[in-house]
Amino acid sequence: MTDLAIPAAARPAGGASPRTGRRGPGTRWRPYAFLAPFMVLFIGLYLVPIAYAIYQALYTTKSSGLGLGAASTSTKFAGLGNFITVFTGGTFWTGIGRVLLFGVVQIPVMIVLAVLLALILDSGLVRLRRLFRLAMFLPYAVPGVIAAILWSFLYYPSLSPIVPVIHHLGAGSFDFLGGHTVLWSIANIVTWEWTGYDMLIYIAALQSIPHDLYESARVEGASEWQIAWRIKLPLIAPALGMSAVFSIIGTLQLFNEPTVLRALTPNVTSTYTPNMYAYSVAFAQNNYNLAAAIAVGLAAITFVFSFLLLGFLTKRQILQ
Amino acid sequence: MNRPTSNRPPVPAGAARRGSARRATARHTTLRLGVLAAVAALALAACGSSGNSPASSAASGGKVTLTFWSWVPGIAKQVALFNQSHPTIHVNLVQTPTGAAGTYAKMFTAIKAGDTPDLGQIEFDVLPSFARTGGLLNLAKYGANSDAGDFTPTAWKQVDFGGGTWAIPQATGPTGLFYNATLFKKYGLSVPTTWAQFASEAQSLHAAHPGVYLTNFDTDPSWLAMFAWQAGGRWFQIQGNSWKLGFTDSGSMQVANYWQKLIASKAIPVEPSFNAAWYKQLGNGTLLTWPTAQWGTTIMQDDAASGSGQWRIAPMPQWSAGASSYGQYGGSTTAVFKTTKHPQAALTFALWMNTNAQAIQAGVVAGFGWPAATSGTSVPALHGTVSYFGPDRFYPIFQTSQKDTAPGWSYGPDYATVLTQMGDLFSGLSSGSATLPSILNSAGQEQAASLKSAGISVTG
Repeated sequence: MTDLAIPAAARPAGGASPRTGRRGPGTRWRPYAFLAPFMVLFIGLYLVPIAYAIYQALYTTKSSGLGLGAASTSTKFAGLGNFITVFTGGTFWTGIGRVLLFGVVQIPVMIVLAVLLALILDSGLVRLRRLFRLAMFLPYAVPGVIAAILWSFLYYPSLSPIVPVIHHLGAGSFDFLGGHTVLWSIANIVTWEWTGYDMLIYIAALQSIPHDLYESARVEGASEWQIAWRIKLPLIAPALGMSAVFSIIGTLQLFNEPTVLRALTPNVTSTYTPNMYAYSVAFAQNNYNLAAAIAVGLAAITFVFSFLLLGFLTKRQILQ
Repeated sequence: MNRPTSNRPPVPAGAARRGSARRATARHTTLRLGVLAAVAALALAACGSSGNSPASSAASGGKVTLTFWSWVPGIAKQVALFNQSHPTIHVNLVQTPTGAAGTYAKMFTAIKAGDTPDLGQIEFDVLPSFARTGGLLNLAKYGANSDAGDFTPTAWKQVDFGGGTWAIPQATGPTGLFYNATLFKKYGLSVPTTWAQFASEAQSLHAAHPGVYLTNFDTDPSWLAMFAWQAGGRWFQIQGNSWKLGFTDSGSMQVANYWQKLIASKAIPVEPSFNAAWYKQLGNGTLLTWPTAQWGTTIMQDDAASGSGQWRIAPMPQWSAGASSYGQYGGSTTAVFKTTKHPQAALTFALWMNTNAQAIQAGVVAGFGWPAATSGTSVPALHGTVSYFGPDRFYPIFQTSQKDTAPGWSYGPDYATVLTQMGDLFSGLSSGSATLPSILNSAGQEQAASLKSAGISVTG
């Protein structure tokens, strides 16, 4: 079981086999020439902006007096000053804590839901498999901002058809956008959007399992539930692990849904998540240096968490 | 691989392959060059977009071309009028999204990049922030101050500060009380003339009809600023070479305590304005009034059409009976950026746009606000009626409001941060974990700290 590596769906497509045949000294430049377009774009659009962001984070803009007019403002080297402001201020860590709490609850719920749906669809118990698969994948096709707007209309008391129903059922007036509930309302939107996507990944992983494993299990008297729990799940564990890593990376960068809900409730502040904090500092406060420091800090935390999770999964031999 | 053939003379190993490889390489090279050319062409096309053209230089025949970024609906008409009447200057209007929705960020970045248009639309509250970047042209150097008399003093003082004249005022935001007259009659309310009356009506209305409110408390701090302004509060003042902060001065605290009492008694809900749910509430009678500026007439006609005919406009309530003091809400200017190659022509355009009667008429019809030019108040559009608001002329109300605007209000050098930070603090209002007076106190302290850390001189 453990020698089944990452299932086909999650493996990167296209493994080029090395070219056979002689290579003379005149042809050594060829691999680099093939890589050149990619490297140019990778360096130019990926590495250079990251380096520039780190560079910007080391500077700060200082004014003097009233701060009006060109003469009174200048950009100075600040060293780690911006990073100290970010890491010692409470706003950044509150945002990180919030998205981590969000992730700890929302990611397992989403993965469990997606696995259940994938198992049900894979078990052959359901007719119209393709229809259900498509239906559950549709929310992913809806752009994130549109999804958040749709759900905000379902949440906002005076626009929502759900709130009056809850009221009629005797549960009082439930405020989806209240101070303690808005985070979970956002979690609901994110789960709605991404469960179908994860479900498809798991279905693909399940389809790569050879069916004679099931046959031999049934011969030995295993029930469908035991097959699912003891054969299917362990074999798709790598896919679960990878989707967990991607989910944690995405959760740490949460931005779309809280920003859309911000227009409807003051309970989502401009610094609700670290990404929103960086955006607000850059575009409302016009302080690009501090925003760069926040972004670099967020990237560092994301690296740490994804490496931790990858390390944990590799140790448990879920991933190789 | 060499495949030995019997008839052929011995060929050096790999030569045949090299030959075909050379042809293949030639094909590959052509292909690669073709792809590179296509990518380069696409990249160039993407980079050069006409909307972001920097300050243009003189075109053929000595005609000056200027670029102007604005989002005011209907401003294209004013620009067209200018172009017709000024053969030597041609202004290209670029319609952008609303300032706060991204155009200000675009302008700030353009200033950093040195790639600004000639002119831009900038509202009063962020004008000092732009002056701070050093990217605005000081119009005093080009004789703008001689035209100061063409504009109302309140408006001129918002553009002439800190040693420079940073823009030409376009429209101001004189305030009044919009109210639903039909529902006022239904609920037996009279139009409040004092804030005390407003408060008692708010409470009795909500007690009698729990699903109805007199107004909402907008979570945009600019709305609260309007009331603080009216009560004589001054969040920012220039004293010598420093800024004096007054978030907790007596006028601001009076306003904070007043609204806090209403919020705490649940007579007024805390919710953001200018969204789909709020327009619905204005139109369907959940909210009965909207204290706001004159430009709100266009907003209501456009977005809360279901209330048409039911609403009227009254003067803003006063703190003491018989007083006449008003705050302002919004308002904008036409500013010239420093990198312009034609400062004189740009100034001509800015002055013409904001003082010419035809241009102002077109602007008022489009809903840009209340003209800042003193001559602007005589344009016909201001003296008519709007069917949404019934048969009454609203001109006298706003003219008085403009005339009696409380003096001395100033927006600070980083107002956007004030709005963001105070807006964030408002999240504690509806749950009761924060009160308005404590919020103003915190906001004042946060703003003082952030200005000081940026090196700006703050006193008091």
